[in-house]
Amino acid sequence: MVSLQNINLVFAHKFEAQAALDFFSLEIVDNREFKIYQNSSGMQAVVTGMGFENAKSATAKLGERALEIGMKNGLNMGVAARAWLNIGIGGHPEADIGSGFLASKIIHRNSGDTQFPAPVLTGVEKAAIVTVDKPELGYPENAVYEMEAAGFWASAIEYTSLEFVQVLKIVSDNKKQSIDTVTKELVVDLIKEKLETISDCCAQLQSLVNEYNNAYSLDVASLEIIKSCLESYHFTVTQKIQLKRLVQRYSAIHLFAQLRKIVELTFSSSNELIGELSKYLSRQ
Amino acid sequence: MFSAIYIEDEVREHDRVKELLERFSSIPHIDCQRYGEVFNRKGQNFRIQKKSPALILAKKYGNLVLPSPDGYGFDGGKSYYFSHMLNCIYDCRYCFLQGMYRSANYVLFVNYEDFESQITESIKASDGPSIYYSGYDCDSLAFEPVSKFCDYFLPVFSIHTSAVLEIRTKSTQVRSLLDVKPLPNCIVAMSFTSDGASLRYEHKVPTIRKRIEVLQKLQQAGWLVALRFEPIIWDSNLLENYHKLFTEIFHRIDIDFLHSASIGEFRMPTSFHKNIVKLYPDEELFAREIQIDNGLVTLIDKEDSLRQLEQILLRYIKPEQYYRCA
Repeated sequence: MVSLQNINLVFAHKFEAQAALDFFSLEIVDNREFKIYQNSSGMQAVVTGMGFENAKSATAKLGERALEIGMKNGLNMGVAARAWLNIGIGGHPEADIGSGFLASKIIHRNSGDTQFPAPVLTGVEKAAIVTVDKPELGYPENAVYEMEAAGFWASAIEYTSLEFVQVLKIVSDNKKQSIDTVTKELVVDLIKEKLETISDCCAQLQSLVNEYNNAYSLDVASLEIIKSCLESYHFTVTQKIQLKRLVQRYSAIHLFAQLRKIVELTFSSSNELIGELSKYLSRQ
Repeated sequence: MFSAIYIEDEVREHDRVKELLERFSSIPHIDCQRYGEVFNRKGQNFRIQKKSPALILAKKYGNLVLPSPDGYGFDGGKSYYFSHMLNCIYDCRYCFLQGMYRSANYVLFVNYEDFESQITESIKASDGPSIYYSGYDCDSLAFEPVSKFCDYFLPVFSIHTSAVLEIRTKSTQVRSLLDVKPLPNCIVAMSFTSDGASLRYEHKVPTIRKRIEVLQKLQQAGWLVALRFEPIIWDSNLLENYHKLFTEIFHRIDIDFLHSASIGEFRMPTSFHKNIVKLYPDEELFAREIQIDNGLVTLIDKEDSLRQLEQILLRYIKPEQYYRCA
């Protein structure tokens, strides 16, 4: 299996999570407010509890956690982006039980707010998702009815670019087979049957996130140079940003050797170093 | 071709929309109230979206025909531009659209009839000849198989002979032009950069050779063509590379039937440049030294190459055929 280190999974209920937690070897790492899971590659998951508010709070909790871990691993020079996938069950008027849908839009019934996840994933049918406060028994629109996607979205987009926030719902009930027939066992089985789809969505997201992170993260050599600068001089927050951009520019213009030479010189302050780095570029 | 089609409620029943939805029935169709809900949102990444853009079908309101920016085009009357589309199917790294819009999705404004009535009003209100540019916020021809832009707008300009339509493009989609009688007041203006710059910065764009072939075909069919050499991006072999390009083009193009040729340096508003730097921090072009003048970013031309380039171009064309794009 490809490494899915930058994926965050969000489930409402432990029965929705169970099969995926086993499949991705996710183990519990935090059992306090919300159950948070992680595997050895860095994939994370949270079980939020039912409803908009729980989904919103738990997603934010996982977002903060991922951010903290990212900060610890870096030099405060930007944290690697992560992708988010909300997985759960829902009701649909017509679709067969077990059908999977990626959200083409998310309508929060209570507020009327509508969001549009970017259609970056392929291989799964798209449908509108309606987040309701109470189970919808009438299925009035051609949409998947569930209770968490809008809350999940509201928090997840605070932590990443919106292309990386996706919702996958699996139909558990419809007009022919009402919500009363949904049992714990059925939920576990429905998710289990869709593990391949879930895995494929995660792989697609990971691939996109990799591209994003490769484009926006500094490479090892750049980070080393920045680290040595930060150890030698005091930098303000603004100066750190200036330094990062200068290192990016030297790298983009293929002047890395020159960058090393300049950084190895001795300066009286970070200001003087930044000035010298800028001056050299302006002479090019 | 698109990852999805978003449809504004307002245009759901428009014939042009119905036809497109039927044609692209296998692509997800998603309803929205206004195109801005998808297009103008914060927190989007143009670069990632460019990999699988969606099409948004919408209605444009307000002023659909606007005065063109100073120095945008040639002399010949009052000039205007109109944008029936936002964004482009090509992916030119130097393009200002990347910094102008938050989304890489294509917006197609399907209310061509409203554009037509405002163009007609504008023509009637002009004392003398007037010029209308299409292709400022998109490449009009590149999307022709979907937009049918020429099918609709060429007949409009065939009625109004005092007005000139310039279609600015890098596309080779010219069937809709070759299938009809040429309009003496329509100019197909093809953009070029040097071969090296094209290979480096112009992704998904037809090759220079193909673009020249298309210009030749258009000229032979009786269409007026023009050449737009922009953006000029400085490099050590700039003059040599453009000399080569000019030779290649003017060997094939009939200069006597060339409407005009222009040169324009790389330039864009500071705010767009700032956005693009964030989008492409790893891109050499945006790591270069810049100068800012009146809110406009340009690259530094240390050797006055632009003037030298003009001198080379003027060896091939008459001075009255040339203008510098400001």
